[in-house]
Amino acid sequence: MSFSEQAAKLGYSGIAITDRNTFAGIVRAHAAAKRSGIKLIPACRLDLLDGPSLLAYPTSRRAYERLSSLLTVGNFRAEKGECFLYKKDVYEYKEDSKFIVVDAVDKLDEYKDVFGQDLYIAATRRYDGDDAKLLHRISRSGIKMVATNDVHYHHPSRRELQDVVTCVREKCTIYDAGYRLHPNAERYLKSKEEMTRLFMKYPDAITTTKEIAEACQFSLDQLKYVYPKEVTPLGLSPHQYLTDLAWKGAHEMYGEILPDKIKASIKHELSFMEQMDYAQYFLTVYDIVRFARSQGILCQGRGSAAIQRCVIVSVLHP
Amino acid sequence: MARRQASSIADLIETESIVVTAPIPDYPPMSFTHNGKLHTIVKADGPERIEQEWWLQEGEHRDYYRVEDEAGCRYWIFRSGHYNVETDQWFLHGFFV
Repeated sequence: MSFSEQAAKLGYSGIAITDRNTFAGIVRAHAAAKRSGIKLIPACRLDLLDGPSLLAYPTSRRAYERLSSLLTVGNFRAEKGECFLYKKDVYEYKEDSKFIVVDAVDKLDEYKDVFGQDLYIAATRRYDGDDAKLLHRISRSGIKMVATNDVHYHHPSRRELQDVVTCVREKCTIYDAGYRLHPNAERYLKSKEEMTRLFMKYPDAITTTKEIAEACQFSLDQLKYVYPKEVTPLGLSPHQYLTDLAWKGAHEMYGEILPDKIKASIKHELSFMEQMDYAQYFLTVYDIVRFARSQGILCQGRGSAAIQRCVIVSVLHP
Repeated sequence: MARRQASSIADLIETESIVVTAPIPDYPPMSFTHNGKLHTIVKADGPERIEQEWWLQEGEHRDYYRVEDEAGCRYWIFRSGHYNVETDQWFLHGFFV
């Protein structure tokens, strides 16, 4: 949120934020960018087990789908919270995405061959004393340079928070953290003028950011949530099926004649669910509960009270 | 602070104040005067910006430069404070040996 606000304040028209091996945060980033009136370019950082990290920018919806599939491959290989990816995985899902290689200058021939024109190299001024030398080497890598500046926070005042978070990650105190902390507060979002100054010798590094941003035409606005299709008895829509189950359960619970209050609340909830297209979700819950009961597993459904109870009663008295 | 140079630097016991000509905001200096002698800088690396350890003390950051004068001598100098603060000052911190 701070990033979008600051980016908008600095006059940027768009921003790409990359998390490591996940797209998990981009919905929030997208919403925040929208509030700030700028464009969010969905992107992610791919940390690989056998090669330099890459920032990946899908240029189309298909490319975003491919990168999501790629992350799923990595997630399935690892325990929850981890993602194991190799170079060859990325090569398989790379189509229509742009890639920026980070934290590496040498031995990039393989990436150059595989990604061709879609490969860029990140340029950063770290203020660590060797910026000029490093930028010179990067400029001679034969890969198009793009200024990323390794931004970690929106404002230099956030360095303290960054340090604390680093300590949490490293499980150490601030007194023991030493070189695990960055020596300065330069990894903030800088103004266009300052970026132009910092990369004065390499103006292409700035214009290339625009080239990538313009190529990235995919927005999360193009997606909407699609619930998986539930299997229902022949000829019944999910909502009809849910309705049947609910009334059946209600009668089993209350007998032939339903109390007015129950009747009203079931009707009310059913109409709401129809409106929201929630039936399939409840049918999924129904399946889970039915399975759990059949296996003697204790479980509890969640959601709309009356219907839930009635549908679950249907499970109890099939 | 400044881990890479540590092995090759003879630190002064106390940093010594110097007078410097440097383009703003943070480019390497063009010359400095130490003990009355003017050194023209022909090569330079930097800045290496080092902030205070905020959990220990408040204060200005330092911009360190490794510079070489016409005689081929190398010096480790820094500016304390950002160029646009009134208290910014330059110091000689050590020699490269």
